Amino acid sequence: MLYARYARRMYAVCLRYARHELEAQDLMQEGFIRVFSKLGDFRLEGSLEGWVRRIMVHTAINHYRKKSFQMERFGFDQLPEEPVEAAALDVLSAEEITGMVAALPDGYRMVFNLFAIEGFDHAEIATLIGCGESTSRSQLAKARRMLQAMIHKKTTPVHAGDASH
Amino acid sequence: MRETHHIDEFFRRALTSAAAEPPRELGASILAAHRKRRRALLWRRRSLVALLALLIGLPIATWSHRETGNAIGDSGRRSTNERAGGGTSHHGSDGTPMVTRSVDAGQPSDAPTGQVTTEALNQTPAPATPPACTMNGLSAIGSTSETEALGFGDQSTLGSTRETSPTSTIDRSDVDSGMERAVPLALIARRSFTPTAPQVGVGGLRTEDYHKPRGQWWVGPSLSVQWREQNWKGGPNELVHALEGNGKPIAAAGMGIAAGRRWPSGLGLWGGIEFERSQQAFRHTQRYERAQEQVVVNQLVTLNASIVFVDADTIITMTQQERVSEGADHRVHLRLPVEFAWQQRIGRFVLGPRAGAVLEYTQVRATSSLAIDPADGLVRATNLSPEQLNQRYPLNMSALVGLIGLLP
Repeated sequence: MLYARYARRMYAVCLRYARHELEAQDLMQEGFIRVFSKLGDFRLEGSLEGWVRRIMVHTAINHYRKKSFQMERFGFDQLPEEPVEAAALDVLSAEEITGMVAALPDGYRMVFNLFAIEGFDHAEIATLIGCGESTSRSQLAKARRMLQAMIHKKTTPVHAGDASH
Repeated sequence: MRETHHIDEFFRRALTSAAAEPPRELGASILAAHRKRRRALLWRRRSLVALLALLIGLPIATWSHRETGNAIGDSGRRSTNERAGGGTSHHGSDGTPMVTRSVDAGQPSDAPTGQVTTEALNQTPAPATPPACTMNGLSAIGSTSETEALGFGDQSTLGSTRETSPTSTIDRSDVDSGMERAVPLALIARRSFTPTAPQVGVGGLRTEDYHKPRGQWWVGPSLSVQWREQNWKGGPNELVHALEGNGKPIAAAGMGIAAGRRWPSGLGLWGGIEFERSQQAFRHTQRYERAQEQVVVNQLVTLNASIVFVDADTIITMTQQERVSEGADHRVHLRLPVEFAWQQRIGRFVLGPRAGAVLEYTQVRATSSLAIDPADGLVRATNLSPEQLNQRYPLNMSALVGLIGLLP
C-alpha cells in the first residue's frame, strides 16, 4: 500500500516542517489525502516517492502560508559562524538534528528546509511562501546561526570532556 | 550561483534520507479522513449535477408535449362516439309529468371501444297544461324537426326545442399539454465487460498501488413501469379537464435494451431503446339547458275553411341535460433515453443521482378522442384521423431526474 511504503520517510519530512509532532501528523494527513486524491494525475514520469514528497512539501508550504507570517526576531544576528565539525554528525542522532530544525521559528524553519534540504533558490522560496527574496535570505542566515548555536551547545560538553582527559 | 554553506551541508546529509516511525493510528486516521472528504466532495458534485439537470430539464419539459390540432376537421364531424342524453318532461293526459329519454345516433359500426353513458339530471316542471282541443286543418306552428329529434313528433301538441346558454362555452381550440410528470421504475439486468488493464510498474511498485481500472462497458435488457401524470393547461377548461383523465396517474409498462459505460469515478453514461404501452381514459361531462316550446290550441273557430279565431297557449319546458363523452387512448411509446449518473458504493449497494433526456415518439392506436367541434364549439368525442392524432402527440423531448441503485 502506498501509505505503508512511504509513511516513514514522509513523516520525517513532515517533522522537519512542523513545530511539533501533532502539527507533523496534521501535515501528514493533509498530504496523504492530497496524494490519494491526485493519484490519477501521476504520469509515471520520474519517481513516485519524489512526487509524493513534493506534495508533502507543498502541503507544508500551504499550511505555513495559512498561518500569520510574522517577522520573528530572536537575537541570533550576532552569533559567530563557525564551521561545524564532521564529528558532530556522529555525536548527534537524527532525532536530535530533526529536533533542532523543528525548534527554529516558523519562518526560519520553512526557508531553511526549502533552501538547504529541498534545494529551492531564494526566488522560488519567495514565490512559494509569499515573501521577498531579501526576507528569504535574511531568514536563512538567521536560521543558520541559530542552528549553529544549537549544534555548538549540543557538542560542547563532548569537547569539554575530551579536554579533561 | 547558488551559495553553499557548511550548516546546509550538515543538515542535508543528516536529513535527506531520514525516516521516522509515525504513530500507528495515523494511517487509519488518514484513511478515514480521506473517505470522509471524498464523500463530501461527491455529494457536492451530485448536488451540482442534480441542480444542473433540474435547471436544464424543467424548461425542456415545459416546452415539450405541446398539443395541437384539437379541432375536429370537417371530415371528422360526423363520426361520433357520443350520445346526447337527457330527458324532457311533458304531461300526459292525466297531468302526470313524464320523462322521455332522447336517443340520437348510436355509435358507428367501426367505432372503437368506448363506453357511453347518458343521464338526465334535473327536470324543470312545466306549467299546468291547459286542456287540449281538437285541431282541424292546423297549419304547422313552430319547428317540427327538432321536436322529432326529441321524440315528440307524434304528440298532439306542437312545439320546438332550442338549447339555451350551455354552461360550457368553448372559445379556443388549442390546448397545451403542459408538463408531464412521470415516476419511472426500471430494472436492468446488466452484463459487464472489463477491458484488460495495461500492466505498468515502476520501481518495483505493485500495479494496484496506483493503477486504477478504466471503467466497464455493459449491456442488458430492461423492464420498466412508470406512472405518468399529465397536466393539461390553457385552452378551454372543459377540454382540459376531460383530457386530464380524471386526474389519475396513467400506468405504463415497457421493455427495451440498454447499454452504457461506467467509469471508476462513479460516473456512468448509457443509452437505450424502449417500447412502452399506456392507456389514458377520459371522460367529459357537459351540462346545458334546453327549452321546449309547445303551442297548445285551446279554441279554433273556422268559417268557410278560414280561421276566424284562434286561442292558443305557449308552454315552455326547461330541461337540464347532461352529455357524457368518454373513451380511451391506447398509446405505444418508442423511447430513446440517454442518461448519466453518479454512482457511489454504499456498503454492498451502489446508489447515486441520475439525470438525462428522453426522446419519445408516441403512436396512438386509439379509440375516440375528445376534440372541439367548430360547428358549435362544444367538446365531443370523435374519431380522429392518424394524422390528427400524431399532431396531438408529436415527437417530444423529456428530462429525467432521479436515483439509480445497483444491486451487487
